[in-house]
This record gives sequence, structure tokens and C-alpha cells, in this order.
Amino acid sequence: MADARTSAGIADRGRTWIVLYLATAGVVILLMMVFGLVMRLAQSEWIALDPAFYYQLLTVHGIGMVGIAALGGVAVLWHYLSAHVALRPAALAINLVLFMLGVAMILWAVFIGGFAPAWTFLYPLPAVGSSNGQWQAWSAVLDLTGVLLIGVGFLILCLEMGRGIVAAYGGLGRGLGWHVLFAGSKEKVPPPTVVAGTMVVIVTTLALIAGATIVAMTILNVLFPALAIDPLIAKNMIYFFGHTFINATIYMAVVVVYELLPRITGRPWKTSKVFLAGWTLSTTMVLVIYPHHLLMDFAMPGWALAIGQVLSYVNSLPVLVVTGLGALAILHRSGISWDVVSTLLLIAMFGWMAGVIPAVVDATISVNYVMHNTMWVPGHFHFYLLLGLLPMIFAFMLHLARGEDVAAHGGDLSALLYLGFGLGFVAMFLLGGWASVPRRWAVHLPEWLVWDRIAAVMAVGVVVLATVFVVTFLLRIPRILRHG
Amino acid sequence: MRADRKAWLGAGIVALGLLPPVADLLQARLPTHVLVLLPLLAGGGAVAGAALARGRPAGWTAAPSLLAGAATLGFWLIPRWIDAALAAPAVAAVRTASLVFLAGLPLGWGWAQAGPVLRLFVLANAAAMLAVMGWIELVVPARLCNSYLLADQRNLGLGLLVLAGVVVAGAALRALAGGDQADATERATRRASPRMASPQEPSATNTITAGIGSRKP
Repeated sequence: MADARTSAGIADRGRTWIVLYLATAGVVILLMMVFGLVMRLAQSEWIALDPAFYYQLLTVHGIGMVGIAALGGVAVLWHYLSAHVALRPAALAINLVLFMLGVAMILWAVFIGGFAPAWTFLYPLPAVGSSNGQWQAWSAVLDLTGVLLIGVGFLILCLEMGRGIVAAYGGLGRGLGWHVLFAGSKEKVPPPTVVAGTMVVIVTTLALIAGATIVAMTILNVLFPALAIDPLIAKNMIYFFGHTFINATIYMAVVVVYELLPRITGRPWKTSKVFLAGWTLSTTMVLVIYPHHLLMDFAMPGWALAIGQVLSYVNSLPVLVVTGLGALAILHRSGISWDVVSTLLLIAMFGWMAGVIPAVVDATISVNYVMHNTMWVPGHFHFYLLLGLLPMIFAFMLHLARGEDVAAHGGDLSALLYLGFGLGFVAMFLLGGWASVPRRWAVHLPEWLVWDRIAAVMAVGVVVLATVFVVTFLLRIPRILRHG
Repeated sequence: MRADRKAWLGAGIVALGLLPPVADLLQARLPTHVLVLLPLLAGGGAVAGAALARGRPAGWTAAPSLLAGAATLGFWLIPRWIDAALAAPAVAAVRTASLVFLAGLPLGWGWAQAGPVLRLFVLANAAAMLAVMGWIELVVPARLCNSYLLADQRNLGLGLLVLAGVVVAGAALRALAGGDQADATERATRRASPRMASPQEPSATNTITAGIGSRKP
């Protein structure tokens, strides 16, 4: 691969692979968005869809978006992290090959084998669906093996990034800036990108080990149903893996904010002790807040649920505060000329911060009993994925498409329209939750259609604008590869 | 420690595991059989393998060696062969030889040749598989080994789960602390891939300045 080229003064970063990652992410994001739109149209009763096919779409949409969020996020993180530590692009290649293999297996399992237990593959659904004829046992095994392969790829990528950080800074603790935070050292102070990268390496690696374990257990359970899994342990492991993994994707992508805003405004983003403390706190808490997905499981120990609720309140605050306030401090009176990239970055900050609010509301046990199985929950994660994570990835794509030139190029109207349609789309989920519309239902009652139909219209706008961003990037790929 | 002394140390560890009173004691219970005796035999080979690898860099052999060692170890963890080794001295002899030479030796050699990413990958997979094995030992309603009671099987399951946790915690603490591992990692990286991506400049600054003002014309 022609990875030796440089760009904007930053050395080799596996650019060709990064472009491949982003191109893959862009195309799959659009495809998954279309799947989402089809589901909303079906719920709106504007198109007829076999419910069995609806649940297949739901499964692919969920696992596809999680996987592609990670692929896009890791492209952002790798691009900037490799400007600070030495990384080997071979890890990118291995991950992409395993990712493609895994995706092919999942698509085969779902659309040919009929596997459709949603992306969370909660025990005992994979085996139960096999035994009652909803899908073939081989499709469950194929799907889960695909998930396993994708996990192996990301594990290798995380270990390589971890190796680079340890080699450059002397340990992951130093990558988090503990020598600065606790010992007052001023040597080798890690920049924000390294701090975020270290956090991602730690939490994602632990999540993937748990994920590999429960996936292997589930495969064995499908093949040998006598090997029963404790449902509560299975759910804990799945959410420790899934919740941590999807959370980490936004911590990967937020690096683009730390790197681009300073370049656009000409103001540095300082690594302060408050910043380091915020990331250390979030590193710890993101690993233990997943029980907020189990608040309705009465068999869970009370203390675990209490941790789930209390830490959910505070988990996001440290990083959000240091990132949000940091961004505002950099932007304040900076004389910035807004364009599509900077506007998308600001939208991302808003989407991330605002998206946390419905999450925190749902993490309150008394609210959770009423709201958790309603549209409120997809409302919260669509909020910070659609308006937090994706704008970061789109901003990064467009930044590369314009040759990493940080001068304002206009186009901020498209970003604002994306915000408008995105907010409208997400609001319909939240209002649906407010109206007690259940989530994961293929067929809706007539009283619920108003939310579905408005959401479908808004989704069309989101898909169109996302297409504009992705196609802009795809058309510039030859130029990106030619000129760096 | 010199390589030949390490080889003798490895032989000593194996001999310890083969001493009749020690072997009998360890084989009396399933948890000590699997969690102490088998690691002693493979560990002795591994110490010798690591000593052999000293001064013989061959990074490409790391993954195949580790895979071969793990496969051999996995074979002797199958309950049917645990029983067979107890019942037939000939099988026990084959097991001892293969654990030392086909599991331990390649594991030690491969570990010494492996870079940090492969090592951590092996540990991550080992942790996941130990947990899966522990779960199987706990949930299977029947005895997997004819020679041991169900209670022993459950204890082995718990032991495997604890071991999985210890592997994860140990690797995580070591990665957090770093220390001299960082220098070794850097050397291994440079040896493995002299053309790897290099950072723009050392990050000895506490601000993000890289790229500021580097706008393209």
C-alpha cells in the first residue's frame, strides 16, 4: 500500500486504509439508514412488510450500525493517533478483512438463514428461535461466528494501538496522564488524542474479551442446548460488551473535535489536569454503568442496579464537561468562519450532550420501569449516534475530501438541514416513548402512526443529506489518494 | 540466567511434576490435575523453549508455535484423554512427552519470539476460552471425567473462571504500568517492522499544536 505519503505535515498514517475504512463506513451507513427508513415506512403502514423480514432488517440495522460506528470511529482515531504514536497499518488491513468476512457471514445468516433476534442476540433467543423453526440453527451459529470475527479484528486493532501508546508513553496509565494527574510530572504529557485513544483501548479490549466469551457460550448453547446459560449472567455479559463497545465508538470519533477545532480556530486544546481527571473517571465508569440496561431484571442485586443508576448520572459528565466546555472556550470569540465541517463538529457536540439527557432519564429506575421498553430508548441512542457520532465521522470525511484544508468552504446550510431533520427524526422516537409506543414492534396501532409517519418523512431528509456528505467524500477519493 | 541453566530449570520443573508422590497427589483431584500438574509439565517445556529462543530471533515462527502448543494443550484437556492418561501408563507417558515437547516447548519458543500484540492477543483469547471452559465444567449436568466426582468438576470450573480473571487483571495491570515493557515493546516493534508508520514528532508538549498553521495552499 502506498502509505508513505504525508499530508499537512503529518507523517504516514495508513492513509489508504483509512480511506477504505471511511468509504466502507459511508456506504454501509447509507444502506443501514435506508433499512431504518424502510422499517419506519412499514410501521407507518405506507408500505407492506412481512413482520419476519422486519425483524431481519432490525437485526441487520442494529448490528450494522454498531459495527460501522466502530469502523468509522476507529478510522478517525487511527488517523490522528498515528500522528502521536507509531502504529503499524497492517492491523488496519487485518481488521478490515475480518470485518468484511464477518459482515458477509451475518448478512448470509440473516437474509438467507432468517436469523432475527436483534443485534443483542439475548439468551435464549438464538437457541429458542432455532428450536421452534423461526430460523435454522446454522444461521445462528453463522451470525455469531461473524460477530466473533469482527470482534477479533477490533481486538487486534486495539492491541496495536495499545502497543503504540505503551511504546511511546511507557504504559497505558501514562497514556491516560496519570503521571501528570497524580505525580505532577510534566514529562511526556499526553495530548487529548492519546488520552482518548488510551481510554478506548482499555474499555474496548475488556468489552471484546467479555463479548468473545458470551458469543462462544451462545454458539455452544445453540449447538448443544443442554449447555444452559444463566440468563442473568448472559444479559450482564452481553450488555457489558455491547454497551461499552458502542460507547467507545463515540470516544474514538470525538478525537476529530480535539484535533480539528484547534486547527480551524488556531487555538490549542490544552491537556489540563481537569481534562485528564475527566477521562480517567469516564474510563472507570463506562465499564460499570451497563446495569442501567438491566433495571427491569428483578433478579439483579439491588446494589448493582443502584450503581447502574447513580453512575449513569455521572458517567458522561466528566468527559462531556471537559470536551463541551473546552470546545466552547476554543470557539468563543475565535472569529471562526462557519462552514460544513465546523458546523458538523458543533452539531456533534450538541448531539452528544443532548443525547445523554434522555439516557440519564431512562437510567432512573422509577422511570425505567415505564419507559425502557418504549420508543424512548431508541430515541436516546439515535440522538447521540445520529447527531453526535455521525456528524463527527461526516466532518472527518469532508475534511479529508477537501485535502485537510481548514479554511472555511461554506456548505453549512447542509449541516443545519441535517440537524433539523435529525432532530425531527429523533424527537418522534422520544415522543413515541412519551406516548408509550413499544419498541421493536413490526406492526403499530393506528394511534401511534402519527409519530411513525413524521419520523419517516424526517428520515428521508436525513438519508438525502447523509448521501450528500458521503458522495462528496467518495467522489474525492482519487484526489485524496493522489495528493494525500 | 543463562540459557542452559534455564533449560535445566525447565527439566527440573517437569521432573517435579513426575515425582510419584507429587504426581499422585496432584492427580488425586481434578482441579489440581488440570490446574497444577498439566501446567507444570507444559511450563517446564516452556521454560526450556524460551531459553532455546534466546539469541535466535525468528518472529515468523511465533504464531505457528503458539498455535501448535495451544492445540496440543487443548487435546490433553479433553476429558476423555484425562481419563485415558490415568488408566493407561503408556498414554500417560505419551501425554508427558507431548506436553513437554509439543505444547510447552513451542509455547515457550513462540512466546519469546512474539511481539506484544500477539502476546496480548494470546492472553485475551486464553482468558475468553478459560471462562468458556469454566462455564462448561459448571453447567454440564453429568461427569465429564469418569475418574473424578461432580464436585471436583464444579471446583475445576470455578478455578478456571478465577484463572480467566487473573489473566485479564494481570495483563491489564501490566499494560497500565508499562515500565520497562515500553522499551522492549519499542525494540520489538522496530525489529518487526522497520517501515511502520512513524509519528510526526514526539508529543512532549502539553498542547495540540501539530498541524496548526499547516494549511495547504
